[in-house]
Amino acid sequence: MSRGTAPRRPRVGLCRLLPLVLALSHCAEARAQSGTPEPPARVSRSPIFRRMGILPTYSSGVDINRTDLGWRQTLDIDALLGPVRGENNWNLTVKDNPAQNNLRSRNGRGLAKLAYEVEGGGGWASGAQFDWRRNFTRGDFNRTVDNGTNAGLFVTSETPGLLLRPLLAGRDSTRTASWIVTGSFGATEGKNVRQTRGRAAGNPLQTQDSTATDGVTRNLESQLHLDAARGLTIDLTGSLASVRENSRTESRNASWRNEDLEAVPDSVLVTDTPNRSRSRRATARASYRPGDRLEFTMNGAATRDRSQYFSATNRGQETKVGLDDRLELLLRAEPMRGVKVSSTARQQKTDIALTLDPNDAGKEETYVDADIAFKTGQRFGYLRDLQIEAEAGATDTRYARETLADYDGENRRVRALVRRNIGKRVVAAVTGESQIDRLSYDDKSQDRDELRLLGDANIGYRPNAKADTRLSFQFTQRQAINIPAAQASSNLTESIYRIEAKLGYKLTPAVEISQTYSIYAVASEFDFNENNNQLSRTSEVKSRLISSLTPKLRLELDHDYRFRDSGSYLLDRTTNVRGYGRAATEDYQVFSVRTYYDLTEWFELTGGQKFEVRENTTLANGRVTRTERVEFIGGGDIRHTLSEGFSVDGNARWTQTSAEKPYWKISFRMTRSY
Amino acid sequence: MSRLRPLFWTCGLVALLAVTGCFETRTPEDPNNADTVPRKPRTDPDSVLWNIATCIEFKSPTAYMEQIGTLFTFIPDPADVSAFDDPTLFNDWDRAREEIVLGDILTEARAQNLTSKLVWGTDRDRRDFNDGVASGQWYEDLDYTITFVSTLRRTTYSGRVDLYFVESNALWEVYKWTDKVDGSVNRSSGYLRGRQQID
Repeated sequence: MSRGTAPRRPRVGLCRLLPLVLALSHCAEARAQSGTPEPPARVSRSPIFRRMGILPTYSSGVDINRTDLGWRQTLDIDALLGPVRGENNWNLTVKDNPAQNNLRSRNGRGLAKLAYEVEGGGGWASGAQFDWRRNFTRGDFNRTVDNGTNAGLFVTSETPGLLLRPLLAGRDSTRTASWIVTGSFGATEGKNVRQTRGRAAGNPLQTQDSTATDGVTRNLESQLHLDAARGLTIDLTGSLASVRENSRTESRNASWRNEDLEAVPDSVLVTDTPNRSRSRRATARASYRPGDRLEFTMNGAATRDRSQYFSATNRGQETKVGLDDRLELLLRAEPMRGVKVSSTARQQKTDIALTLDPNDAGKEETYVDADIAFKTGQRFGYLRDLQIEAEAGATDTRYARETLADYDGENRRVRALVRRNIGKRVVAAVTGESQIDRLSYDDKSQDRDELRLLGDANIGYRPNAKADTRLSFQFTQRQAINIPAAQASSNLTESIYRIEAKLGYKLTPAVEISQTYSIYAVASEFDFNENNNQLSRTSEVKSRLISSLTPKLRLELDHDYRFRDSGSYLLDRTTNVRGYGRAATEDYQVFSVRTYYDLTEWFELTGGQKFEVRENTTLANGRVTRTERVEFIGGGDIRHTLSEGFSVDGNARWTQTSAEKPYWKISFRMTRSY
Repeated sequence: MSRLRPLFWTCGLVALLAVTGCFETRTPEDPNNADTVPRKPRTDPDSVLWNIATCIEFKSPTAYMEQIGTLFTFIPDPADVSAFDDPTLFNDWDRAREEIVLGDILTEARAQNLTSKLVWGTDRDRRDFNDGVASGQWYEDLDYTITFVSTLRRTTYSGRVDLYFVESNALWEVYKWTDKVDGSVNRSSGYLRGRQQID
């Protein structure tokens, strides 16, 4: 595998820069689509706000789940003041949970963007962006703070596109060409505190690897779009970004003395590092569509990242060099009427090299996938009108690791579906699927295969408009095979056979009943541990009734009965036949009633009761374990638009159960556009 | 477009054939097969010690029994004998009994996916012996620790052993195992043998 060389200059993570880059590119893209500033999609109904050219939207929500309380509110303000366009987003989230070590969490974030378009300036625009983040979490044993502030200026120009348009698109007015370049410069500042406290009483908080950073960011981005010829579209984008940060990381252990822990001397580690990060990214997309029945697409991307940060694991400044190259080809075609073909081929290479950490890793993947869908015509005689879908694919991956053995991963898959209507009342479908994953280590220490086979056949019959029946059979086999002898004793082949029949009937337009019968068996065979072989057999009947008692009142009744037995499934070596020894049984029943009442068009009341009984019997000693559970759930749902732009949406449920203390679950949202 | 049709069908057929022939798992190595256990030629007692540790690690009764001589006897510590209700439990403990008991223990370790390990002490004092029936070499008070580990539990047996070896056809093998408890909280291998299963 490739291994990056030590960088000459240190760096920091790009996570702070990326949102800015994305936001700026979004802004530039919006600008590119129009020569003049676009008004907000909606206009404020308030005369004052309309006169001010702003459109505020406020939303607030509360979530309660047992002792967990969350409250969130968001304010969006879009503004259009002549050539200046502003976007603001502020949100605040508060969470409290006394049952989770007295968790208290306060998260706030504000985003503000201001863009000024130079009228008649050939698509020049400039502006500023401000991103403010404050996160605070505190519990009985920890305290974390994650604060950050980014501010930046940007300039966007469409002039390169205007100047080069004659060269790129010629005089053909049907062709379009654009080239947008965006440059930005900003400052970034962040503070991160991690503190933990031992569980013994009286322990003070310890500071662990808390970081303070400040620095500058720079970014240059280019987007080129070209309709080069008839049916051929080309998009090229590229970006250069860099971050220079000064980082101070502090780790402090306070001393304490108590019955459980010995005294620990004070220790303070302070690391000052000048971090330098850089990212280069280029993407290319070409799409060629010569007609309605054929399309080729090519996607390519290359990314080079170098970032520097404080590594808590290695107690020092880490440098990470990343590489990601990918090339993808897609084909979609309709070679004959009714026959649709698509295919994807992809090659990808990634590599991560770390200076301090000995966990460099790389991956090289080749992916191929093809599928076809068609319907057989009259020339197929009895086999006509078959709807056939088939898919086949293969993925080969080479994993390279610095300290562990390299290995190859192979995936092969194939799937086929055949469906046919037999007359107007019968539909038959057969599905087959197979997939294998194979890991091959260079030292063969952990070689492993996993195979999955699926066969499914079902037939549906609707004798009339009221009745609906379905019969299905399914076979699934899973094999987990470790190749080395040291791990092969856990090799397992699991086979599942399932047969199911369903009958549905509409007694009246307001009453539907259905019943489902199913039998399935699961055989677990350990190739080298016959004594562990198990077989379980399950029979299940599910019944359901749905009734609209009145136009406003609905009733749902469900009953599920399941019987299962299980035991050893051993091979008799004299007859070479497997024998089943039943060891345990399980009876399970659940009955539930739910009612829904539409109090108004926007408010629905709901109430339900559930009874659940489970009885497990161990046949060897006759021991019976019986568990019962009774549950009531009641509440309501609201979904209402109070006026234009003002809506509420929520639900509340009160649960009383024999399994735990009663509790509320509430979710409520209110949104208002002014 | 019509000229492309044969190409589409050929590609589809080739892709289908390419993947459908691959849906078989490889043949795993048989964990019961002694050939998969690495062993040294038994040219001296130290090699037999190394082999026994490897056989326990690979949980292979077959390979383990290769190290055990035909005249093998196991003599437990009296403390282990008194730990069981049956005072005759360890009587006439020979090679056949060792094969059954170790077979059960190692099979259980495999079935429960336990990691097993035997570590011999480094303080080894090897001397010659002649008990009138056989002659060879022996280690006195050799420390050992046997561990069975899973994600849920860890069981440790430890003790000391007077371990006797004889040479047969130029290959060394274990002749006698005299087990001793070591006074630690751990049970000894005699207790493990008597229980015939891992605690």
